[in-house]
Amino acid sequence: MTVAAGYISAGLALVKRDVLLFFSYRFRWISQLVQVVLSMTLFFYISRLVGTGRLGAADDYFAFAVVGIVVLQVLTATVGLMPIALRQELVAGTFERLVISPFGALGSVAAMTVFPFASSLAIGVAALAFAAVAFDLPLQWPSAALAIPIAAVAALNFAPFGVLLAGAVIAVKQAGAGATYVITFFSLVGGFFFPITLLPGWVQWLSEVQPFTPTLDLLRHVLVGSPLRESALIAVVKLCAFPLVLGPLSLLVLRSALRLTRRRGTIAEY
Amino acid sequence: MRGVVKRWRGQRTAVLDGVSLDVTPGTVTWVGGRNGAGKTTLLRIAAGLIMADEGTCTLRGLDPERDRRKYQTNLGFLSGGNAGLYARLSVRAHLEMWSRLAFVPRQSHRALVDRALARFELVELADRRVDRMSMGQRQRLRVAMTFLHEPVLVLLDEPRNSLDLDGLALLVRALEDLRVRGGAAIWCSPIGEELGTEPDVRLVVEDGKLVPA
Repeated sequence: MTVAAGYISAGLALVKRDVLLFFSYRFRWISQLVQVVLSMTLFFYISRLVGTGRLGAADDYFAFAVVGIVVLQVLTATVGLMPIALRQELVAGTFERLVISPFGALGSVAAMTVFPFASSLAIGVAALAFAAVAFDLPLQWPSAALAIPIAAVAALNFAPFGVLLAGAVIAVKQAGAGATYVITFFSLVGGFFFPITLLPGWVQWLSEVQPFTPTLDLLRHVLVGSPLRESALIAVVKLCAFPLVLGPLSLLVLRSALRLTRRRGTIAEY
Repeated sequence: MRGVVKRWRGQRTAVLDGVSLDVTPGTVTWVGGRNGAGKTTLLRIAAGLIMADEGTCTLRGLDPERDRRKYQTNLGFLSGGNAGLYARLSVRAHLEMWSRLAFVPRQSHRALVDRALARFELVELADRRVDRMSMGQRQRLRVAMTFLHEPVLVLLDEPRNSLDLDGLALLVRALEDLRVRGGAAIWCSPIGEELGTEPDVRLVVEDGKLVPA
């Protein structure tokens, strides 16, 4: 077995672990699905109140919000659940075993981002289907398939935030509140529930320096036909460029946190 | 280990103060000491879990930092206590996962897992979830994971924890097998604990030093 095959096999073993643990709670996925469906329903009726020049008709706002809800669900799973899962690993003493495995802590944390992303994406797809059937969400079927590669690149954009928070958990042991702040902040400036043009001008630049706004723009465009704020090419370039910066940076932070806590002897503490 | 020093922040004295230890292939080394003497710290440094402030630690010439993957492939570490298991995973799932995390060649996964199940008498428990097992059974699983990938050096931190006499016998047999194939083990436990086997070397951690027992 080559080293690369060993790493892939070990990473998949952790993904399988996460799948087994997730489905060991039989109603967990159902409750997540119900949560998204309720959010969809809530926003559908809120959208009936909307009729602004910015978003056009109520149905336009609903389509806008639905994609925001799905992406926020993915963001929450990838960024928000990572610190919780890692902290559970620390408390249970299982992280220690990952650290001393040949696969190592770095690979393990990276692998831990895969299942939350994939499962929330699956629930997001189900939610979109529900919105299309129940509330006549105008899904653009010819271009909807493009959401798959966009989601794949989005994964590379979202994962570094989870990895950064994992580094914080390892270093300071508590980062749940930090995750909440991160998610809330990006839901505010990313354009999840309202167009970023509603924000004050001096805040809008924040929408340009994070990957969630171009992700949402592209997904809305291919899924529900929303017009793009800028050219598709620029949005794609942004989406591809952020991981090139954020990926190595997040791994560097995680590596530093691991080294610091191994030096201090606090890595197994919680 | 050569000249290993480890200090905890806020403490004036070093918990390990220039500890050197050679472990010869085919031997079991017992390290005793009072509670808090530094036995666990010694094992954690040897396992590459934490870093020494000074000194070096090598395994067959491999460095835990520079050669991390190979170093860990050669190592089995049983931490103290009963942690390190996933409550809702089965015995078999734990062993299969660990075999892959330990970079066991794909074609050997099943054979090694089956062997570990048989060796530590876990066959009947193979599909049982960990949270439905007794503490002794869990400890047997932890020991099985430690020996699964056939490491050359096994580090045991109070391995008798919750083991009954049958469990202890299985552990001792695994150590005998390890000795026969040229591996070695370090067994840490408090002074006075019955080991069930005669170690080749007996040492004690005292005031940060490793001295003959």
